Amino acid sequence: MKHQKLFREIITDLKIVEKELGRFLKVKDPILSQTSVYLLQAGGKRMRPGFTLLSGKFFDYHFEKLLPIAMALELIHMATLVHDDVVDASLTRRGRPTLAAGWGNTVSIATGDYLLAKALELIVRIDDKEISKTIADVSVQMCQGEIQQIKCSYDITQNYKQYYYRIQRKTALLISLCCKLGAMVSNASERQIWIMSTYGHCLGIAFQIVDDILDIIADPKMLGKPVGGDIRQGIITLPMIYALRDSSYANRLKELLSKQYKSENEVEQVVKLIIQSGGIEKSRRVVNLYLDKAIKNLHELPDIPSKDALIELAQFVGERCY
Amino acid sequence: MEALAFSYQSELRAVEKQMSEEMLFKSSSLEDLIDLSMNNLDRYLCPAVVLVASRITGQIDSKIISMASVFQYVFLAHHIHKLVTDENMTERDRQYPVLVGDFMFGQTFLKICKADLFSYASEFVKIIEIINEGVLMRWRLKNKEMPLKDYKIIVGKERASLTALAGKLGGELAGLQEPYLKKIEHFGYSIGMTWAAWEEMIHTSLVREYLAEAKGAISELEEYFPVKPLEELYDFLFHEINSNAFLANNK
Repeated sequence: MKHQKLFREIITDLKIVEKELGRFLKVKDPILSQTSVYLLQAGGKRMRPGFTLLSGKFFDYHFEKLLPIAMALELIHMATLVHDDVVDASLTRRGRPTLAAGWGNTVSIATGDYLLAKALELIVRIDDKEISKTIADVSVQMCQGEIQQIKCSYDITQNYKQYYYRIQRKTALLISLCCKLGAMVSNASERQIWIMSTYGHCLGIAFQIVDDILDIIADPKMLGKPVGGDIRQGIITLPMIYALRDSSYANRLKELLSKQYKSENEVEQVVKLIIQSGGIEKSRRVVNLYLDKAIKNLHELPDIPSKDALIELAQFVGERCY
Repeated sequence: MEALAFSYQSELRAVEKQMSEEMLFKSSSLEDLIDLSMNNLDRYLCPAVVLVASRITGQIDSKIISMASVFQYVFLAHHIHKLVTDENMTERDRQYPVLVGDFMFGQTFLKICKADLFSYASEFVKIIEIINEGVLMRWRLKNKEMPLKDYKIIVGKERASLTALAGKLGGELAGLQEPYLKKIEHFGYSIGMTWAAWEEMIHTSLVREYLAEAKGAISELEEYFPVKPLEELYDFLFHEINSNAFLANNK
C-alpha cells in the first residue's frame, strides 16, 4: 500500500512499534486477549506513530524515547475507533466485522477502556508531566468534539465554523499531537514544535474532510465499510454544508438530511445531490488549501528525507481513496 | 446531601463544585446528555472514602480534594459506560454514554496531571484495568447462575477495588503508614463490597458480611486514630441501605 512506502524512512522502527504493541497488549483475560489481537490484526495505516517518528527525525531522534509515545497515541486512536463503532453501530471497519458486531457493546466498551488504560500506562512510564498533561488535555477535547457531533446531528443549519470545531477535536488534535510530541521528545525548539504541531493540525483537518468526502463517493470495497454512513446518522459534513448553500439543491437536501430514518434510495439521492451541487469539488479545494498550508509550513525545516516523506504524506492524504 | 451530617461536608461540596466546573460540554450539562439516575451512595461514597481516610490523620487539603474528584471521575466513567448494554438501544441512549464515559476517563487523567497527583497515576491505570476485568468476567457469566465465589470476585474487581484504593491513597496522601494503610484499605474494600452487593441484591448475605467487616476495620483503627469520620461514613452507608428497608434491626 502506498502509505507504507511513505513511511519507508522509518519502516524498521514502525515495525518495532507494531511488534511492541502486540507484546504490550498480551493479557491474561481471554476476552481482552482475543479482542486485542483481533484489533491489531485488522491493521490500520499506523499513521499516528508514523507522524511521531517522522517528526522526531528532524531533531535529536531517540527511538527508545519515542516508542512509548508512538504506541500510546496509536492505542488512544484504536480505543477511539472501537468506541466510535459502538456510537455509530458500525458493522464493518477495514473490511472486517467491528468488535461491536462480533462481541457486542459491553465487550467493545471494556476493550476500548482497557486500551485507554494501557495507553495511560505507557504515558506514565514516560514520566513527563508536560507530555502527559498535553495528551490528557487532547483526549478530553476529542471527547468534547465527538459529543458535539452527536449533539448537532441532523442539524442542517450548521456552518463551517461549527464543522471545523468538531473535526478539529475529532481528528486534527490527535494528529497534531503526534507531530508535536515527536518534536518535543526530540528536543526541538519552541518554534520547531509549533511548526510540527501546525503541520499535523492542517493535515488532520484535511484528512477528516477527505474522510467525509470518501464517505459519500468512495468505493465501499476500497473503503472497507459502506458509504453514506454520515448521511444515515445525520452527521452534517463539509460537502453537505456546501450543497445546502446551493439554492437549486437546498430544499430537497434539507428535507432528506433532516430525516432521522432514510431509505437506501433516499441516501443515494442525497449522494447524487451533493455531487451535482459541486459540494465534493468545493470541499476538495478546502482540503488542498490545508494541505498547501501544511507543506509550506515545513519550509523552515532542514531538507532531509523525512521532509519529503511528510510532503508525500500530505499529498497522499489529498489523493487517498480509502 | 442536606440530610447527611458529615464532619467533612464542606469538603464533599468542594469535590462536587470542582467537578461541575470541569464537566464542560459546550452549552450542555451532563444531565442534558445522559439520564444518569444516581443514588446518594453513587454521588458521595467514592470521594467520601478518600476524605475520611485522610481525615483520621489530619486536615484535608486541596490535593486530597482533587484526589477525591479523581476517584469520582473513575467511578462515573465506569458507571456511565455501564449504561451501554448489548440490548437494542436507541441511538441517543447508546451514543452519549460511550462518549461521556470516555470524557470522564479523560478528566481522570487530566486531573491527575493538573493536581500534581502524577505519582499515583499508575495506581489508576491498574484500577481501570481491574474494573474492566470484572466487567468482562461478568459478561462471560451472563445468563448463567452466578455462584457466590465468582460474584465476590466480580464486584470486588468492579467496585470494591476502587473504594479500597480510595482508602489507601486518601490515607497515603495524609501521611498514614503501614500497618494502618492496610486497615483503611480494607475499610474501603468492605464499603465497596457492601455498596455493590446492596445495589444488585443477588447475594444479600454479602451486605451483612461486609458491613461487619467495615465495622471491624473501624474498631481496629479506633485505638490509634479518631475514627469519627469513618463511623460517619459507615452510618451514612447503613442509613442509605436501611432506607431501602433491607437491613432494619441489623445494625
